[in-house]
Amino acid sequence: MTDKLINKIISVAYGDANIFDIIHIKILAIKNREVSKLLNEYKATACEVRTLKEEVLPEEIMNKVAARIGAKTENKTNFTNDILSLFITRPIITSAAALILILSLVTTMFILRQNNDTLYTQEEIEKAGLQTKQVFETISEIFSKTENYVKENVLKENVAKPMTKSFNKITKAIKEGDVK
Amino acid sequence: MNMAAETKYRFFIQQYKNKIFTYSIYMLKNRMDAEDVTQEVLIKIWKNIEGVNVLSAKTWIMKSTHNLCIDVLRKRAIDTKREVCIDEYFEETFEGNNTENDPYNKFQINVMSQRIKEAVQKLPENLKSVFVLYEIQNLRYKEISKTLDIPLNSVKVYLLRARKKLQEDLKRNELREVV
Repeated sequence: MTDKLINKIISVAYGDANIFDIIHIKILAIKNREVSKLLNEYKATACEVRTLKEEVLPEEIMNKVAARIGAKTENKTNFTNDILSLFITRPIITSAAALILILSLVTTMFILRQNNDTLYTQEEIEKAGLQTKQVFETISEIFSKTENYVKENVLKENVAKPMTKSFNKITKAIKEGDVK
Repeated sequence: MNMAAETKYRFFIQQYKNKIFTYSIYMLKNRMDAEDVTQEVLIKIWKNIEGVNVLSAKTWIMKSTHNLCIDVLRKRAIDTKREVCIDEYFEETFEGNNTENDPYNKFQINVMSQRIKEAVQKLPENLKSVFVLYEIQNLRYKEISKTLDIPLNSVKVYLLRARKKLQEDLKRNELREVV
């Protein structure tokens, strides 16, 4: 087993390896008993390490410090400390909260602005309706004119007439052929 | 000292007093010395409270703790008698902190934790400091690098070596127990 492989196994066991290493080692552990054994051993130690907790500083030490500096070092938690600790110890949460707040503000402003734009008086709405009606009438007029033009000029002159001419020519040719 | 400074100080105390104490205990293997170092660090924070940047306070505080621990280690000669004391202390503190009610579980966790604590304490100082800061204090590589004034890569290497050494020590102890 190479050093590189052992290092990977250790990282996987302690839970700070990347996804590719995790997959690689898991596959190797299935295939190779030695890898599996080492991984389990390190995992067990990692679990034990996680049981270690911070030691608690005795209160008497705090009292000694308070006496030396002449200030209160009370252990009570307060709102200011809670807020400060949230900002300092959990920067991701704070950033996410700030982002959500900004997004919601922007969205609210956008929606309000849109609503302002669509606020019309009854008179304006009626006028707009009338104008729309006029536009549709004009369009319908153009369509009917176009239809007539196509029927009379395009179809008659450019389609019907040449077709009749062609049919006549074919009939004539067939008749002449019969005679011959 | 104004109100804002006092609030800031109280916040630091609340956040870091146990971290300072834990680190000192692991580094010094002695409760009394750890208490002294913690006191010194807390007083140092108070003296510098107005100049301490809240965002970089963690590394500054841990760096101060580490330097004071190194000073103590340099000054003192190794005393085996003290090691016996610290072993007893660890047992006491762990029993005090444990909230588990099941006596069997309590015993198991106690034994497990005790074993690890002893093994961690036996690690060489450079490896131990990185290991404790990373595994127990939950500092990131970058923060450890700043705290101990060592390159980022060295932090990773030391951590790996510490894990290997810890594993070897635990295995050796197990074998000894079996024999």
